[in-house]
Amino acid sequence: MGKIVGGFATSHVLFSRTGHEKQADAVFDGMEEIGRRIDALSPDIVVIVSNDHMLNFNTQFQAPFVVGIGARYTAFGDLGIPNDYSIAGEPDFAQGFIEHANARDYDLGVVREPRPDHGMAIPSLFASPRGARPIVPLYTNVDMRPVPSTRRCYRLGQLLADYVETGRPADERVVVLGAGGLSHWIGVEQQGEVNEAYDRWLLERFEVGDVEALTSLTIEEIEAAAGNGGVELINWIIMLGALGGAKAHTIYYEPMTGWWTGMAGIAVDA
Amino acid sequence: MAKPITEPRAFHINRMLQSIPHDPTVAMGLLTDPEATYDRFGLSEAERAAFRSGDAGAIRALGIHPHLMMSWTLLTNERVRNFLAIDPVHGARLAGKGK
Repeated sequence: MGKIVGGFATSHVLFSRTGHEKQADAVFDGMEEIGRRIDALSPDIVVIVSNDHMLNFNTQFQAPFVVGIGARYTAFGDLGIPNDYSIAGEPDFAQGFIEHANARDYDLGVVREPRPDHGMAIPSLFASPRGARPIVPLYTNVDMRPVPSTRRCYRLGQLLADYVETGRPADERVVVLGAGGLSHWIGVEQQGEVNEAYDRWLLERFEVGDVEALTSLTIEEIEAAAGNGGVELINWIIMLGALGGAKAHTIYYEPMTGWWTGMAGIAVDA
Repeated sequence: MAKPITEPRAFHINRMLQSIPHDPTVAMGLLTDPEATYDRFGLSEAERAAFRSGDAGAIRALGIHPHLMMSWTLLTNERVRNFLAIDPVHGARLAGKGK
């Protein structure tokens, strides 16, 4: 049986340092620290739970959960990410997960050749240096209603853990990395605001392993408090489900109004 | 019942905006011959007026998906485009991480 050896979550943007160098560097240091910790765990595969930003899935098509089954992914190249950044995939793991979930009443969509935008590529830059460590992208829909509920996301994380533990080769080591959040508002009037109090409340919930509070949140509540971008919290909750609701440590938090985002990263011990 | 996060009345505008990153003729068209591009996607006079004004509030009020406001801003606002990118200082620390 395989083993989930670690769980992490991180915001998934990087912008200009100008005007807020100290905060920007603290965020970058935090992402690097997450990368170092992932390296130290020597995982064979990193499952990255994140969302697209209207580049691969837009208002023409959205699905609640979509798994990448490609052997290789090439970054779209937004936000200055090199558009030749190429990341190894893990089709066998991905297909197996889809079948495992299907047998347990979760039907997941598949995508073969997405061009990962920053949502998937920024965490990959730290989780899979030079794209050498295989990733399995798990995309969530946070853009069009209905968005999957927090409880349903947590349960999907549990199914992922069950798959690794019962359906994968002996000694396979898997890290789960949730990406996105925390509070931010995109393309709406409140753009630029950060709800630091709510972000810190969320981080405390992860620190104490308060699964009940996190999985009781409705999407509407999250959007009201943390913005339409803050709904990316569901990516963290899937990761938490995969880690069995274990307690987290906050690696970094910066309420970066300059980046229009509450920037945060956590580590969960397996 | 929750308000849908994208409104059917604006789908033709969403289609225009979400084409920007994929179709250079749309991106270039909006910069060099916007009226022809509005024709291509069937924008009404009132919808064109919002884009001509460049006013974010007026464009949002058309009912477009909020995230697609970013496609428009990245195309038309160089200052924001340069700001919303990995800083060269951080890019240097990523050297070797990308291919």
